Amino acid sequence: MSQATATRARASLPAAELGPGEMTGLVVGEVAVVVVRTTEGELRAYRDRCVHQGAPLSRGRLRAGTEGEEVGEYRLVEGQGVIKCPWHGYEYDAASGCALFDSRRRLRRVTVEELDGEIVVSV
Amino acid sequence: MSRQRLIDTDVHERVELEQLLPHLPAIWHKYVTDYGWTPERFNPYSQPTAGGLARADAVPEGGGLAGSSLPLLREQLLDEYGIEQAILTGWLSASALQEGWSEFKTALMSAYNDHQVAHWLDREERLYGSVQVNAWDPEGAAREIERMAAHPKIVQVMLYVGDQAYGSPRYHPIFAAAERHGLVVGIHHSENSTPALGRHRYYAEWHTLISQVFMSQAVSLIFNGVFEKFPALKVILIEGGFSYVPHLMWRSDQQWRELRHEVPWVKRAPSRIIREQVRFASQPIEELTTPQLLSLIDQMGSEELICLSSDYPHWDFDSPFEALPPGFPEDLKQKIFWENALATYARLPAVVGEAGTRVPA
Repeated sequence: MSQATATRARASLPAAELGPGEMTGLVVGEVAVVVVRTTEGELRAYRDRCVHQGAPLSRGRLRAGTEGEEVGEYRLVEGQGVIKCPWHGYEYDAASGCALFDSRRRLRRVTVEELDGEIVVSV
Repeated sequence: MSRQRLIDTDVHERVELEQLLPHLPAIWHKYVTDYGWTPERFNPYSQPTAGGLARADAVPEGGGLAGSSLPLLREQLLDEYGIEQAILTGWLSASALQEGWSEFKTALMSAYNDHQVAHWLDREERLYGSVQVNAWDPEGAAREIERMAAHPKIVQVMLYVGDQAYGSPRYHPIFAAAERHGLVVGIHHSENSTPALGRHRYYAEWHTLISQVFMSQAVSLIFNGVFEKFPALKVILIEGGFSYVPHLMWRSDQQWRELRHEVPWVKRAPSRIIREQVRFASQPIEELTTPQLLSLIDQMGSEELICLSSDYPHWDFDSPFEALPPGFPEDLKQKIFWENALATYARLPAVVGEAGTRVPA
């Protein structure tokens, strides 16, 4: 459901449709938004547009992060959700919106809250 | 204008195998004297130049191989160009040969190094040396580095390239030993280095494509985490020129941004790693105009990356007096000719600058 107001557009979806570690796309007014619920249960919403070439992040993947210190060492970073772009694979920390390779490059955050069983996004 | 100060980072001394015998354990002599072992060569062509591998005028008049005569090296290089320090990069390297028979080849490298000290380093103060190793035997190579690091004029470990990529963890003991002793690792192609599609039909093709070998090595070292594991390590890529460097930086940065989860141990952007830990010997310089060369250096994002090299006595030698184009800025020339190498080679002695400023080694 999308509802435009004089200054802001709002859209919502049932909270039960977005579990921990899941993300979905939502159009708010005319703005595409990716809504994420982290494995910790926190909600985040960003403009659904990769900073690289504008791909829709909601069509990518939300997975645990990968780290390693020595060559050949792969370690899942439990609790860190990583949004992976569907095109070239740019990765963003789901909680902060920052690109993993450069924290100065970040997704544009959008207001999101959970109200009465609904996830409400405002742009 | 004050005289340019010069450090030459690529000088090839040459020796006959038989000259190594006094330094080689007796058990190995018969393979040289009786059984005819020689280093294998894979290229189907020779260098179609006036003197083959070397400048035709670098062959000693009394006979012998180009690069084998200390008086001629003094005359044609050190004195001719006023070179204050020159780093020997060698001729014989087991690393450029096929794997196998490491017992002999590791011993041969030790003999080569001892000959290098006796014949060159101890006889000419301007010459500094490189440890030649058999990279196929990394533990043996590390032991040789430990042994040779005791000599004060050894400033580098040489890794010649056959068809191996040195980022593999197999070779990490070599980088560990080099870092431990403040030795630069010099990577140099060989006649056995293989470009991406093989040796091609003509020498002109192979020689054009040698820069691929250096890009392969840089990519291998970066993505296998060598520079993260050994943060004090400096690597210099020798005799590949440097016009490929912006391409290498841009492309590896792009892949790292997109695929970093596959190599999570690479914490810094490849271009940053290169600027902090990799240097490039200038020869064979790609004969650009001054505006082109300044643009290229700007694209590299640093004036600290290029170090003068002549490649004496080889046929594609670059004259320090002629290599840079007319009108090239003097301050940048001084970096390429002197300062960058001095900052790279930690074991080159500190030098009192002409203006009385102490230049850090």
